[in-house]
Amino acid sequence: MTAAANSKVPVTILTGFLGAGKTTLLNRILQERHGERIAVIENEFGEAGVDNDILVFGDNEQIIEMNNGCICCTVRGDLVRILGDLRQRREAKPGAFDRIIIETTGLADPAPVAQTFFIDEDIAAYYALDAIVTVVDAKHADSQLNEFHEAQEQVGFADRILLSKSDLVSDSERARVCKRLVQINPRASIKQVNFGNTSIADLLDIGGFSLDSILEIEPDFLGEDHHEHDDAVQSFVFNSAAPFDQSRLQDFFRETIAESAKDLMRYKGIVAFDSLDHRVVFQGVHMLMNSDVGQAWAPGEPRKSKLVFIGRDLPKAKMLAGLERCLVQ
Amino acid sequence: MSTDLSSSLLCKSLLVGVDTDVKFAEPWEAKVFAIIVGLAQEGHFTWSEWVECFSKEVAAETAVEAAGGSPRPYYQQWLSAAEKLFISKGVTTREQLLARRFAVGSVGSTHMMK
Repeated sequence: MTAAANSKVPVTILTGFLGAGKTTLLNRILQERHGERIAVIENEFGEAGVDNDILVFGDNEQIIEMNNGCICCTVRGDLVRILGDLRQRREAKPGAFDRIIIETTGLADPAPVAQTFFIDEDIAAYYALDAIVTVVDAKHADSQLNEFHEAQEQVGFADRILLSKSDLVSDSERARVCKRLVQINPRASIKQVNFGNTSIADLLDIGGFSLDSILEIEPDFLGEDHHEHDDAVQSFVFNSAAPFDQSRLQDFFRETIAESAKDLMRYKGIVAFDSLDHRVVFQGVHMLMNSDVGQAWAPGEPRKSKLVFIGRDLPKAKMLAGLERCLVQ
Repeated sequence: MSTDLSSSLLCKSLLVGVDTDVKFAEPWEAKVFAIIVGLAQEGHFTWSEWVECFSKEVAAETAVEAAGGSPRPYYQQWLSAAEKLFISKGVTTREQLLARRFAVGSVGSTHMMK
């Protein structure tokens, strides 16, 4: 990461289904003596009054509540404006805050919130979106994932999943929930959180949108079609030992995005091109994408590409076949 | 970049081989222009180095035209010359340009993450 990127204010999007414990978690974190000054943008739709009472207004924290409903579906401009205001305050008073946590509503789609950081030039110049963190209630995960597509989407978008209330379920139940979460999203690490001793480190500096971060697939990910649950949000991984042709892979993305941008939630990859002795790393959210050069392949090192796609009802077979055709055999 | 390019006399005077009335057909053209001016001002190369590099590009293009080929649009020539100069001056690498081009080629420059 460049020095300029490092000096940007990191932002974490905290999402999670209704009652998952986001506010409790935030409350804990704001009370913790971690030396970080955190500004919280609070947007708990319909529960504003309650959350207002619960959240701690410490000397170090600044809580800005948005009372005009959902940041995602009103206007993205609201978030732009509030981030602009916060910037002005920080510029007037350096050290006013070190980072921002945006707590979204239980029903929110994280995408428009995340996209704000990549679409708006001024926001992108000042802030760096670190990660989307999703709190999942272990006790109610199954029923919520069955019933609400928003719950699946929040899991699909996550860079990290914090499993709350896991003390309320048996080990086998917890393992089953984790397995289901991994099938929806194999690249988000799952951490159990006990609100008595949650560490701020579980939430911050994850680097979910950084191209430097490694692409880890949870070892429990089966990658096959024998799932216990037929969730609409699913993921798949494409591995190859043969290199890609760059222009063919670009064509593949152009077509896939033209057809499935709305359903393609997150994607990330490390690829080998036949024309290049370096890795190319890329990631995307819906239609937004970036790519950069990665490490050089060592002499004799197998040039293995790995791509992961997470989305809603993705045409998996078609996409896998399409990717296969981009390889140089 | 917020410099008002079209009204900047400095920028106009820096242009080589064109009418001083700078016109951009596409936003990327203005961006290339601004990046070249910006990097020169930061001292990554001198303006005469840029002029030399661009002249070579134009000469090569003229040769293509003389041989019956069709020359590339003006700002494409700028872009090619700029890429060559940036690589030779260590501002970027060939690998980085190719890698960055992957996202542009996949989603278009308007959907590149800022």
